[in-house]
Amino acid sequence: MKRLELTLAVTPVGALDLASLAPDALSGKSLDQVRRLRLRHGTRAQALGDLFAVNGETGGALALRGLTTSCHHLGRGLTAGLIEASGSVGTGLGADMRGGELRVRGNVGDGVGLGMRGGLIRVQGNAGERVGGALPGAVHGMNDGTIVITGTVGARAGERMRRGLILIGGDCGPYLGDRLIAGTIAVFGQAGDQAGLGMRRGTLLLATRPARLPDTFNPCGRFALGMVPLLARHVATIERRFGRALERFASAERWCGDMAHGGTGEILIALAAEPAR
Amino acid sequence: MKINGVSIDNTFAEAFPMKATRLVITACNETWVEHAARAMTGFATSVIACGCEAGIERRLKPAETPDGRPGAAVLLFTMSTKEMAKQIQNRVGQCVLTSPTSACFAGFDAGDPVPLGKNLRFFGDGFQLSKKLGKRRYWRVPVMDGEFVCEEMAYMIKAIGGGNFLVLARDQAAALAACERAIAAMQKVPGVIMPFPGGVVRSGSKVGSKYKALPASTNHLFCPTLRGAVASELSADVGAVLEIVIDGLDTASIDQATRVGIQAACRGRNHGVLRISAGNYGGSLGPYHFKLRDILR
Repeated sequence: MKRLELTLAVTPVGALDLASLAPDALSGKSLDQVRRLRLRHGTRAQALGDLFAVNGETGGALALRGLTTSCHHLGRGLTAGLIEASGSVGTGLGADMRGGELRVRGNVGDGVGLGMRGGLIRVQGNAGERVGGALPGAVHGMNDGTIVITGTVGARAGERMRRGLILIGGDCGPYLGDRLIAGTIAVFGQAGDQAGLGMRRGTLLLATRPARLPDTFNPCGRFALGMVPLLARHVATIERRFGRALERFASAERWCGDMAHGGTGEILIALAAEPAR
Repeated sequence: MKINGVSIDNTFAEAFPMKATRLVITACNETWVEHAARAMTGFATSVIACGCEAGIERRLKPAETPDGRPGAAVLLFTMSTKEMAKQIQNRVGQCVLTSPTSACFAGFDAGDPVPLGKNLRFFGDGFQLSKKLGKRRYWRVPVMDGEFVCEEMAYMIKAIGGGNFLVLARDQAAALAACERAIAAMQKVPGVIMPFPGGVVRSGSKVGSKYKALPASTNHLFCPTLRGAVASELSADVGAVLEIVIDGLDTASIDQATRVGIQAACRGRNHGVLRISAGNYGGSLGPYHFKLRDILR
């Protein structure tokens, strides 16, 4: 399989904008043409070849090595193809993404998948705030696609999310699914306070009982919902261990809310969790 | 041509283009799958008066169904897209949605889309929820035992209805036993249903009637009791005729079902079967001709 490898050769001074690096945009270019591409670095544009060691060939996957938290907007607007990255990555990973796949081994900053409309983001590490949230000025957050974070995430994951799936392997910060419009978020660690506050529709699946749910959520009882096996099977095709983890929700406690916003959203708490509050 | 002493007529079954969809019904156990699937495919023997022809294609193991529960694949055949939408809505709405623990899914991944849960969701009176997983959307309708999960769309493909063969036997018991053997063998063929009761029809029909209101009437040339009154197709030793009608997703499936069905009907000693024939209209009405001798050769 064709593969273009870019290894960061300098320590960025200021923000390094990687938004223009996409497999389809680089396809058909020679390595010299790739090296001559201009990337925004701090206050100026700089040749890619001055920043990265370039190897391999274009027309296939794009691999980036040794990234740092100064490397922002990786995979922004990605429509197709595969980008693999290792090292820490800055903000805006996969923002406005429409297709393709982004794989990151390492921690990533805030705003993963902002306004995402399709595709798959996998992060083997932790992520910052507002995963799957809204782009600045946008009414809706993530509108389709899947985000998988194996570690922890910060506050407001799924903020104003409209559609799609977010899977969080570790803990998440407060205000999970803040003003969620629809979509599905599963947290296999501990969710922070106020999960689901202001949510209109959609589903939050919490493997562990949160310390506190908003007062505007009402308990419905314990159920074996027919939707859960379908979700588990779908998730297993993306991340097998999360598919298995969802089997814990085969019998779940259902809370409906936010009753101040229509009440057609739901929080499902796995019955393997601690006793009711 | 003869099979185990049974004469195979040099004739063909004449069949027609239809629309077909496959639905997968699941429930908590095989008993409730059977209740839902049988109810949904009930009163669906012929498009002449039922609106569709339907039957259980096969039972599904939990590993074969979308939600990991026992299930059944059912096939529905109609003459038009509009009728298919109506039949799905009525039958799933009245027979599957109502059946405890049931869920209903599309059995095809591609074809012309036709609403499944898309309309049934309104039973939820505003409390229904949708969930999109990948490219598929499901509706969750709250019901009194929990929730009814139903895929939004089913998919319809071009198919064939009206494949058939006739079993001419010494007496009624021999004809029925032969048809029971045939149906047992044909039920193992994927992609076909035999929509009549037990897969067998005793009232084979011809097009038209002396009564203007009737589109079809008894196939009098194959009625043994009329042998002395009409130019009968039956020799003096034929005491009973039964027909097996086959609807299939393609010609290969109907060929295969016809082949195994006839072979099973002619199997054994003292089977009492005298002839195998088929129903047609001279070849002028249906574009699909299933020639018995070609299929069995």
